[in-house]
Amino acid sequence: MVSKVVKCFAKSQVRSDVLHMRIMGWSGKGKDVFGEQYITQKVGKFKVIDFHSVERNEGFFYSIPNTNPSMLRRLQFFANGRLKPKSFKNDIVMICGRKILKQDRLPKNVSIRSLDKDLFVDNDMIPFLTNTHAGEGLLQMIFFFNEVRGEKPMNIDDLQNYLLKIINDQLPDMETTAFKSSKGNVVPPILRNIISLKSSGIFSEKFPKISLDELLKDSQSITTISYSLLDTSLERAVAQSLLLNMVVKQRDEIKKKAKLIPLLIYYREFQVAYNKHDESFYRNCSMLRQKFWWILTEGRDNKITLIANYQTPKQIPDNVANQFQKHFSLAVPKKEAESFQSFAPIPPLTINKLSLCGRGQGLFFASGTYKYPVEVMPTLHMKKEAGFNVMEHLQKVFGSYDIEKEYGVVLDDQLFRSVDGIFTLSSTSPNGTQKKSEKRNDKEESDDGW
Amino acid sequence: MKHVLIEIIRRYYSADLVTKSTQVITVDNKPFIRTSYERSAVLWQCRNQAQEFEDDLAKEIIDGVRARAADDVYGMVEGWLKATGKWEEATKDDIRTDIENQPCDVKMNWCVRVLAKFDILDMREVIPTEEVSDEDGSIIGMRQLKNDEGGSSG
Repeated sequence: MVSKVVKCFAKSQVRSDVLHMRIMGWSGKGKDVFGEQYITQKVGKFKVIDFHSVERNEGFFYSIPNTNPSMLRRLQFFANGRLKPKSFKNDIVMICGRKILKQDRLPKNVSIRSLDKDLFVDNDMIPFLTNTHAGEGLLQMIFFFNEVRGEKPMNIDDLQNYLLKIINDQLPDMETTAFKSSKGNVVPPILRNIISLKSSGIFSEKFPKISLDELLKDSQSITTISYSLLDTSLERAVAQSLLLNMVVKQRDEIKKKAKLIPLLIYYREFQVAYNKHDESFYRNCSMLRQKFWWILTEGRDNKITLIANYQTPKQIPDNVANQFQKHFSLAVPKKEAESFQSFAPIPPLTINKLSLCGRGQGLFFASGTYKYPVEVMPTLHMKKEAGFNVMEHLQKVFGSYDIEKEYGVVLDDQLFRSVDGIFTLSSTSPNGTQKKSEKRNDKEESDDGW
Repeated sequence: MKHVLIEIIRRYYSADLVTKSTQVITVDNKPFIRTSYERSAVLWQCRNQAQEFEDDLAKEIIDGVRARAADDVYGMVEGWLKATGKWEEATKDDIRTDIENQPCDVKMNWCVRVLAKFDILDMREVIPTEEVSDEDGSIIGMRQLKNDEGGSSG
């Protein structure tokens, strides 16, 4: 048989100075396949962080080559042997949460980290701890007094102690008078939220603290951050906000930008932070939105790029969407796709067709040009399928370790409570705070949010 | 054989038969596309090619094929696979077990896939495709260049 004839094929490069990209598409159309295959190509050029692996533990498989026959056929079809399945170096960090109590072992490539309480100080705490103007006013006043006294910013422990002093009338006269009216109805809900967050495990002292140096140490690997051990959407909002804040602060503080490692953050389900239907949760995400905005507007100078995916164009405000310069849309509603025409001269016929695109087919537009129809390349690494037990599979591939032995902890219900002094607090609280806290946790365990 | 196959498949795709497959009508419960004139022209050109390359097997297959474009290609591929003892390997592990009864676009894609599997042809040789990439060469995807798609503005 004659050997294969290899011909040059057409290439088309679309350049953009601003690198932020948004990926849109209805559920199941291939957003994550596109996102993952795109960011894996950036390994080595950027430090890649899969920042939000969502509850399905997406993004846990970068280190396993793709074996899905259907995806391999598609890869062969489009790349014609040029690209082969491969693995990428992948560190998986799970933020500590109460769901760890349901696990005995973890795969060897997964580590558990908690957050430093000192990342969570003063005004940063407000949107997470109260949803009322009275509560916000009280906290502002407390932080003001603290600043006047010249003390270091308050973390969650300092605030808890201060609130207990309000309840127990242990403050100097002026402050007692100032907070008198808040004592009975404003302070308890805030304390309840503090207890809930502290007993969530996010700030547990028993597990190593996550650090930016650790996250960024290996520029050749993809770091996946998972929040699936956390119980509630509030806890996940806190964890994500603090982590992103940590990254942004570091970028902002380093003046010699040339020294910065280019960083690429991949964020799934971007729309959740902009969902106004849940007023309280929308408020919880205010820090997250601020940090996204900073990345989108200041990221270019600070070598930080955001790749965000969400379902339909109208799920995020226009001013945020306009900050992205590269756009990939899989099938989305026709009406909403019309907004793309302000980015490139896309004919109405193409806009009409977009809503009917099959899985893995879409429209790319950037820098005033567009490409259609673009077929998404499959990922070179394994992609999670629905109903697949991720942890079990990873344990088979990488082996596993005993959590109790590895971290020197006992995985029982007291793990987060006793260490964090919750019982001490509840015994000193005259308002039955402990009981309320437990009720709240029960309610929130059914939370199916984020 | 290879040259003939590439030519006939290339013509099949460039004539945009696949994208128009939604307009397929059936004759005797079998998919039927394009006019007989076009099919004859394609086949005639392919036969000339076969002759040029002195490919007797291809010539024989073309002479014997029924007048349906996808069936023509399928017939040739099937004939070649069986003649070279590759039929078993080609059909093993393939999702399509009843390819003979599939519509023409499915049948044609199957043929292309099988030929690529045996490393005979490059998809992009027969299906005009452009690779879309970003500023650092990261692949966004592959764009199939079809006759009826506007495609790019830049």
